[in-house]
Amino acid sequence: MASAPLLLAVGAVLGCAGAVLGVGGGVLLVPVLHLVFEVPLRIAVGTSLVVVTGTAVTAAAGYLRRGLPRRSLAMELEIGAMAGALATALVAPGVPPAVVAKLFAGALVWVAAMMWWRHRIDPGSDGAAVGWRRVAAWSASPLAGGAAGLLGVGGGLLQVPILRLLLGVDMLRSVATSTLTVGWTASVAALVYWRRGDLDLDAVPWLLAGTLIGGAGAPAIAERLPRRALESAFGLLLLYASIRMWGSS
Amino acid sequence: MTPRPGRLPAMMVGVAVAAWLLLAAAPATADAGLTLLLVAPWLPVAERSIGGRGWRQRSLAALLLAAAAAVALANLV
Repeated sequence: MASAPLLLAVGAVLGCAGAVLGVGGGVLLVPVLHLVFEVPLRIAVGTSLVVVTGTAVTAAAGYLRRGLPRRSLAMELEIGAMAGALATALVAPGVPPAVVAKLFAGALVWVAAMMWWRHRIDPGSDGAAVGWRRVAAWSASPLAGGAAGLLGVGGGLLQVPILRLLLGVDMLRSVATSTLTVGWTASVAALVYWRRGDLDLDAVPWLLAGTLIGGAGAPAIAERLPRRALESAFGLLLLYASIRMWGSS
Repeated sequence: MTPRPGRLPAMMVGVAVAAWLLLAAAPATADAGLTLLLVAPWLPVAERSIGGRGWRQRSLAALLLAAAAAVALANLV
């Protein structure tokens, strides 16, 4: 693994980019650890889950202070998400790394599409979904958790569309509620990776410290950057990383 | 004085990372730091299980907390 200052710098850049662009840290961290630092994919996923837990907790604190997360809804969805995360974290050693890499490549394309989609969808008003939509949301939650447990991405990339599109929660509350659940889901999956020894414990504190510093500095930086151009460039970078991940392992 | 929601978990993450970095040479530090880090997200759930609005929210929080505790016990003991 790389030196501590390099890990700190990488964490800061990824934390800042993740916060500015509104994408989860794991989506960026896993490809960087695997493709750049040549960390085995399962170790990269486990390490990412711990970093994602820490960043989700600090981000959720800001949202909780403003009263934004729908806590009951978050806990309802977390039951399925936790089951999904636990299941995929447990079976992860039996899944060939090439399959995980290809699934991750698909997730990167999904994130690029989400960045495009978020600005085009009506931010909506906060409503309460009933009937089949609620059942569909409960059914989809294990998928979000499953993605977290297998890919180390936290699960927000699926929870936000579930909350916004299926449950009619407005966009800001969807992101806040999802952030709250990401900490729970990632921490449960991280436990399983920790027990197996699929973590780089030397890298975690440096990456996490960097990510927290980068995330804290993001609002000031975001104001000075052309957001749309940045998103387009980042979307292309994600597609490139997706191609590299597809061919890796 | 009521603490601000989410403040304690965020502080726990800060303490965990700081201790982990400062005491990296001590073998138990990584385990202690990681434990603090993984417990931190569950504090708001624990708070809801006691002070949630209505029996439904309290039961849901207690159920979730019990499930997380069971996973932790199964993995760490």
